[in-house]
Amino acid sequence: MSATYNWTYKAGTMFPLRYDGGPANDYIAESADDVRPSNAIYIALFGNDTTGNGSRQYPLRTIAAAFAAYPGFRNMFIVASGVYREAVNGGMLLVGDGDVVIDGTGLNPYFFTSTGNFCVSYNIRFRGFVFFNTVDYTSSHTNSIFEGVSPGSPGYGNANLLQKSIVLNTTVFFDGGDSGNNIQFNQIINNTFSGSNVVFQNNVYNQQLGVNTCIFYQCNIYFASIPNFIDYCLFYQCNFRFDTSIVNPFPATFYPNVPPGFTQYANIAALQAACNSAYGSSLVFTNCQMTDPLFNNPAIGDYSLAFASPAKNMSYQGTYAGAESIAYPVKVSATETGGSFDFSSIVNLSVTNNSVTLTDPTQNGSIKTKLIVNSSGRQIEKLPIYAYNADRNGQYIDSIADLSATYMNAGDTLDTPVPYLVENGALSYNGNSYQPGERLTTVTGITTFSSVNGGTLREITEAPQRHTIMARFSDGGAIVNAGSALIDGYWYYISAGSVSYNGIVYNTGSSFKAVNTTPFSGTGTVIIALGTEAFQHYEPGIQPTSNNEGDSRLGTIIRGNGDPAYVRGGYNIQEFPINSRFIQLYYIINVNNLKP
Amino acid sequence: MYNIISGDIQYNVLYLVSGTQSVTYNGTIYSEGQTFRGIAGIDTYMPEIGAAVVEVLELAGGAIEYALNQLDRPRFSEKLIFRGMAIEFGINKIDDRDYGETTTLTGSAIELDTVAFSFAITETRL
Repeated sequence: MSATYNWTYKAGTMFPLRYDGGPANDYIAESADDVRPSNAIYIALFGNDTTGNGSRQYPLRTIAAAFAAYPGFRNMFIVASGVYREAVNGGMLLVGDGDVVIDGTGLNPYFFTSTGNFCVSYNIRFRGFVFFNTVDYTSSHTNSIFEGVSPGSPGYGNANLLQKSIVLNTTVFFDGGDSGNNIQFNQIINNTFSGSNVVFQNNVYNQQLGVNTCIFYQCNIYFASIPNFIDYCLFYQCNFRFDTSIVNPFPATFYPNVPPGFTQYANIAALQAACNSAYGSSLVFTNCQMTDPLFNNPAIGDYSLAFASPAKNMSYQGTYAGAESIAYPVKVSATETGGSFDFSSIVNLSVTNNSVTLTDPTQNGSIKTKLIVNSSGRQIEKLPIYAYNADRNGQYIDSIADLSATYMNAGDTLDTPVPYLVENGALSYNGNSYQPGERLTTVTGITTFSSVNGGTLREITEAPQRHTIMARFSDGGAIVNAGSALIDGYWYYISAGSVSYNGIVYNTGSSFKAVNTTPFSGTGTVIIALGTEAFQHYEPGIQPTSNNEGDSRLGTIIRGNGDPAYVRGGYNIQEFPINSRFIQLYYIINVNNLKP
Repeated sequence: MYNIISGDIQYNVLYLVSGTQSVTYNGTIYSEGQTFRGIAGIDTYMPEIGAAVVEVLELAGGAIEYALNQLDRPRFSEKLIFRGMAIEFGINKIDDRDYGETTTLTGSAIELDTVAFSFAITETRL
């Protein structure tokens, strides 16, 4: 069958986490692509609640329909990339397969545990949701983002386990357990809180409410009760309040404002003294710091850590505090020298600080980064991109499906089962009518369609929303001697000494792109960093890997995991992490995205 | 490029005014070709007849997030890689030996962007 969505989580691969949010220990049941696995349900924007069956090939369209059809305990709902504007009222196990936004703004959505249902998420961005834990089932969230629709908005959460997640513009509650009859280890590990009210309450049962390796950035932190411990955390520009009575509503203003009842402290010692005065000395801010975490670019939602971040080696559960790891920021600047991009590669784009937009909104645009140099001991964890886009999800800027060049007209014989896109007019297939822009998947035995108004079909040869970012990698090539002709368009890296090229002096560790064949001068050692390596597709949000049978680290062309021909995992297929020395990224803004 | 109806303006999304008239958003009038960014809590705009609002596809930035690579060392040669160590002792049967002597060898290293590590080896000659 032709490729549909290139699912990360397919039959035989391990779930990213256990049904109750713990470490993964189970596999997605084996099934054909058109048959739903016994323990998972697939949901995608290109799915259909009526004709879909929850399989990889025929996913459902909405989470609500999936939950209604398959409410079974321990089912995992695997959601494809995109924005889902719906209320998810209930408790379930949601896994984001790519960049998934569930936007419940204005829909009063509640994501909560109920009898028989855990409330578990992995790699989902929730917007405008309310979360809570009503009964003795786990509420657990990993690698997720919780975003209020306005500062301090009533979307709030309550989790037993919150790890590697980002909490933005909202109010979040943490307590130490329920009725006291059931031990609940309430752990808050490796999270980043920004512009949010963080409320510790009701730890009366003293059930191990613990906070490890978190970053609190411009938050109002309300201690109505104290957790059992706060270790290895970093606070920056936060307001604090120690008060056993909860005072609603919670503030909608943050640093530099100091809301009534809150206090700013200059250092951890002052914070500790205030806490001791309010609650005695049982809570110790162990190994905590009050300093700037040095996020790379929080203005655009990039909470990854700069290389010099003090959060980097705050070690307890991991090697850094906060939700995001250290990262090389790919910054957009109006000037070439101030940013990460090679302006000579710009096609149809206008660049200002933190914003790249299409110059001609009817034409595609693209831009490449300069050479990015990695150092040893680091492999790429993910390639996130930051953008905002109303009808998709703020991350995908290049989500067009690859379409066959062949138009199928009414009466032509179609392959089955194959996904097709409807164009040029309405048509009828298998008793259903379709409008231009809609898509259908053919079924066995029905190989023709009739055109109502000149409609045609084109095969979708590659899944939508997987062409998001391209990248190429190399560990560097041969040494180039001074006086030798360069190759126009190649990137060169100065590994020692300094050289002069095109009127500019480049020192050790810097690089340049040849704009002609004129040799450089000087005594430095220069190697070819990137030459003819091809760009491959990759997916933001998950670790880029290669399944190359050769050696991915020597600059050999590798098949990325955004490539439609990429076979993920499985028997005798080894996936390599990417830790190449040289990296270049390539972003394409495609105007003709298929509307989800 | 999608037309966005009033009520669907999203926080922080960039919008472009198209058509021949202007729109009013958050108290400001925007003419054709001008852009505005969605504000939290304000999802409506007022168009004049003939004006429309379309979303703008925008790239704000990117990143390469790294994970520390403990088990799978890259192969390119670079300084500051601590590849391993060993201490071999040769026993000299002729020399006198001080039994019960304790020797402690300690050291540490820190590599930029990598966790610090340290070692301590204590040997007691029996």
